[in-house]
Amino acid sequence: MRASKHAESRSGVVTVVCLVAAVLAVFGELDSYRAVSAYNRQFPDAYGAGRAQIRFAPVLSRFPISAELGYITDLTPSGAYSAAFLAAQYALAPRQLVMLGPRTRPEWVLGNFTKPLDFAAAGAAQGYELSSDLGNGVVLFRRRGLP
Amino acid sequence: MIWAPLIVALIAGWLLASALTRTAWADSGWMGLLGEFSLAALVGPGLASVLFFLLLLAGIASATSVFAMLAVLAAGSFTLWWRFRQTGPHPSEPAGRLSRFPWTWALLVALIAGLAVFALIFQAFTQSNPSGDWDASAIWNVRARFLAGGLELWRRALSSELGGHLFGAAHPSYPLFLSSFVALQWVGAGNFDPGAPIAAGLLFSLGAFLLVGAGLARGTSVALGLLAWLVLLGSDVFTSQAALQYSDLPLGLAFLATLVLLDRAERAGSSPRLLIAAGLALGFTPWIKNEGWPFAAAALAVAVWRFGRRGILPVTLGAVPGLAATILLKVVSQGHEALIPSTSGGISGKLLDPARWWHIFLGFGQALLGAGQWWAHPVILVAALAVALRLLPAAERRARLWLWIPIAATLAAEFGIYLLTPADLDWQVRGSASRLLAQVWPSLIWLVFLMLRSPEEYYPAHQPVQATVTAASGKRKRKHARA
Repeated sequence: MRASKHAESRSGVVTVVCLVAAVLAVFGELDSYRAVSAYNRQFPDAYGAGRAQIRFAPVLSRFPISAELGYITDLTPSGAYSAAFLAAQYALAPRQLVMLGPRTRPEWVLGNFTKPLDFAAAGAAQGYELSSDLGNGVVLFRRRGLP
Repeated sequence: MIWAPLIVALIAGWLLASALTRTAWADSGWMGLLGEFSLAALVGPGLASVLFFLLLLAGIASATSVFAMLAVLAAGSFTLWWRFRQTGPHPSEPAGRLSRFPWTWALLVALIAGLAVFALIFQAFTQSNPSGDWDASAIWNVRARFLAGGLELWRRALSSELGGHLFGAAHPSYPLFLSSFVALQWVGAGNFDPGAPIAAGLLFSLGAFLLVGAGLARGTSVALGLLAWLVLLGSDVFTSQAALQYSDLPLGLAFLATLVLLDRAERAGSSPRLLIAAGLALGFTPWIKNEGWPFAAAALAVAVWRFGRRGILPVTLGAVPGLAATILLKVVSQGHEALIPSTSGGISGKLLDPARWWHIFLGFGQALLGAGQWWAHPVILVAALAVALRLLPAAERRARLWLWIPIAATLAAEFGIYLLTPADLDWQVRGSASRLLAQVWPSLIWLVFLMLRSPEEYYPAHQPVQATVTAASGKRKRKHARA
């Protein structure tokens, strides 16, 4: 009986705390929404995956899904370099992008450039000749000496 | 067509979850249905992802084989559901609830508002980033694209070539739960519809969310479940992760499902079916992310301790799909990542460096601080509710303490990995501490609320309720007698 009365005497406190907690939780969530909206307005497509799918769309129809393409860029290794490579890989998968090396010389190479420059010279430095400029800094090169 | 694989996997998951866990939700009413749905969100996609991986290994993955596989999964689940559909509530469970919290309607209104805001957050992020956040396009979804390539191209997802040898970009042996589930939808659709990973992200987030409240509903309180849902919605660490298309919330769902089912299995007298379901959830944890290994090991050990020999077989049996697929993946993946230094000197040097300990504590502390706004921080809300509602009696709390062990073991293992990581510690902690918190957050909310008294206990209008319960019990007894 005493326990029951004690419980009833606390019911007011319980009600107030439960309702205040509920309201604060919703307002806290609203604040999260405000922060997410502001971030998305400032950084739409934050890592460039969406832009990459638009930029590299012309490449998709030129190569089968099993293709393996080399990769060259004007970016120097840094955060932007990784982000640009991974966004390009995402847009082109399951075609695979590989870094050029002494033993890695695929027939075709994808150029991913961020600013206008002499694309032909950039390819020639790697032993590749310009095949087509697809716009938006997307360039295809073919290995020299192939028929 | 894009939604067909997801819908069939979800239906199969619901049938299987319902067959295995019906006794767990016997007196939970509509919240029980939500509990079944949340388990379906784990079980259906989980089994479908394992089976799709087997199709890839067998070299027969195609749209036709994906739909055939899903049909077999749905048929098998239906058979089990049909076999166990008559199962009633467990006799040892209380038949009814306490009295009603008179402000339940207000909590429901707040919950509806909270869900609307959750939808806005999800939509706002998805609209700006339909391919998800960084790891989604760099890891989970790009691997899904390779897996959907079929033939031998899927092996590129497990190759150290993926990521162009950039540091931290290739993860050849990363688990495949999410990538495989997204890939099978793309194979079924015949294109890389961005809706597949978005829908998967929403499904797993909703699953984790629903299970927190539904897991508290039975035999205790609807209001307590509603409060837990609201605190979870007020947790930025949860809501901000939902639309990222990462594997952290699916892992959070699997953690929570394992704990809820182990708890229910103990209350239901070591029900073998509930233990199989718990094993199924437990087995999926390493199939979702590597962080699942310490959790699975700890949960398995806890299950053996709590359920003895009766528990070993069903839990292990349930864990087979997830564990076997993960081990197979480790066998066929080409290369692995070093998680710890290769020399004992390197290990001891990192272990004995107090600056690393402090850095990690700070990282976890900052992640916890960032879990919400200071004026509505979930920890403060939970503390206020704990003061008002009060904790359960000590004996009841102690009886539930074992459920904390797998989560504690997971956090301890994560701390250890941070201590030993060969990668830059600051980069590692800043990039992942909040996601690690997101993995355990639904479980932590559930565990804390499991220790609280319900609001209904402070409105002891027992008489009418007792009468209803007695009447209901009498009705049930008469039914049993007729049967």
